[in-house]
Amino acid sequence: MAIRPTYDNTAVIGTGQSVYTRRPEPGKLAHHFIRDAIVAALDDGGIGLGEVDGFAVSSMSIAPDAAVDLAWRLGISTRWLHQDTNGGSASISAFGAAVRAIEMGAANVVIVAAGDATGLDGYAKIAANFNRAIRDHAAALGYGGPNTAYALLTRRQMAAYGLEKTDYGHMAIAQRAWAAGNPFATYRDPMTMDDYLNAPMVVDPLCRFDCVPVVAGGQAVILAHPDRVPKGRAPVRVRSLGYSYNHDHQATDGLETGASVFAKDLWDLAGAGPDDIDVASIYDDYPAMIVAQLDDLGFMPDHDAKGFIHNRIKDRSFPVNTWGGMLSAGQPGGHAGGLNGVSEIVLQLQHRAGERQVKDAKLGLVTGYGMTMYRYGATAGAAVLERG
Amino acid sequence: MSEGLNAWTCKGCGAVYFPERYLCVKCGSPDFETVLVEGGVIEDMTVVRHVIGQKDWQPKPIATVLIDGGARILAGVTDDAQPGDRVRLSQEEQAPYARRA
Repeated sequence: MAIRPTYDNTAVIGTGQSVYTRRPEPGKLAHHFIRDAIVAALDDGGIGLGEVDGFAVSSMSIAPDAAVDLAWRLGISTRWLHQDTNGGSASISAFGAAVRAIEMGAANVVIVAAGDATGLDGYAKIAANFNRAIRDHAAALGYGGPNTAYALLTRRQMAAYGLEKTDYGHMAIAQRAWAAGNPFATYRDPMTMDDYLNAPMVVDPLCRFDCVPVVAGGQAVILAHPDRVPKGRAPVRVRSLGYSYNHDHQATDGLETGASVFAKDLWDLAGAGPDDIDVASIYDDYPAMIVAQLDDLGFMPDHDAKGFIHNRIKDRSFPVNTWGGMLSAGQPGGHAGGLNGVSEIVLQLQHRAGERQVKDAKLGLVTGYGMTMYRYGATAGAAVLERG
Repeated sequence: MSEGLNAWTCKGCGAVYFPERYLCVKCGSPDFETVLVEGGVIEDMTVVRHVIGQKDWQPKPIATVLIDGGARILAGVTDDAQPGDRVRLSQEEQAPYARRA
């Protein structure tokens, strides 16, 4: 019989982030951005560094260092340590691992952090050597990174759902409008459909505004018992978690993500459904993947993506990626980008999201999606969070 | 550049894989042998026009090809082959290429 987990002993205590910058100063490492985020999160949660006894980190640019090297350099001694390598779902994966660690008594106060500072050249090297499959079988073709995989996937999705380029444009434009309310976002000026359609083509049919801008940056959240939440602030609790890894062996069209595998359990365990969600962070490495995940999770009646984009996303009546998402705020690596989605839902549920606040937000959804092993992403995760 | 693509076939059930696997998804066998696959069909296609950190980049056409035997691969396209076209496969080191059959 499956266990029905409960998460009564865990809440998000604090969130923090570094600045996001397109061009980090020479010598400024992922380590520095992760540190800045942790300092901000500890300050936000009123937690002392000496109280921390669990640490999870994910990054693609701390090598040859690993999690324990960061713990050393940051002065953190722990009894629980976790390094997550699952790309765009690394942080939601690490977040869940941290929740389970606290619930099982493995740690009391856990930092979940992520960050990257690859620089543009560093990013290109990482992209060409992402794994053995890409290095051996794709890099020489001019693959150049995940843009190529998602260009092909977007073509398949356009054909399957009857979507046009302007439909994706409405999504990018809506996220840019949300970004205006996020002081940390890299791109905050309004975008028009002309701007979107006239942007240079990168990998057909993806133009510049379909591809996340690489930035350097870090994110951190602190988890602990709900009685550690600072006075006057609502605890943010976990209703349910869902994960999937290598759901279809890279053998299909990739239009269904791993979220399709856990969607039913996620909602059953949450005692809620898509209609109950007040605000959502849907991992947005590309607009097509927002569509795919929303459909997998049951947000689109009759799989009508076009209708959902035009009736709920375009006018922002369904608040998705209210921090601007990675498309506008920037992608500080997929790991920290995913964690920014978590932080945003926490701020929204605590009613601390400033001018982008969604009124009376009580229930939120966060997803992660990542590891483009060959033709599309192989990892997925999600959490339903509530204002407790 | 050599003609055909070196793929892997499961000795247990004949399933065809690219890249190499270590256990067969379909039957669980750990035993594989290489097989030279000559052709396939282009399912969808793109052109890589810009790559981060690269200057003087020449556009590169890349396709999803359903190869004979059933695996879906990424292949460089070396002529004007289009989606729906049957293609011949070749490879340079371990990278697959396709051209109109």
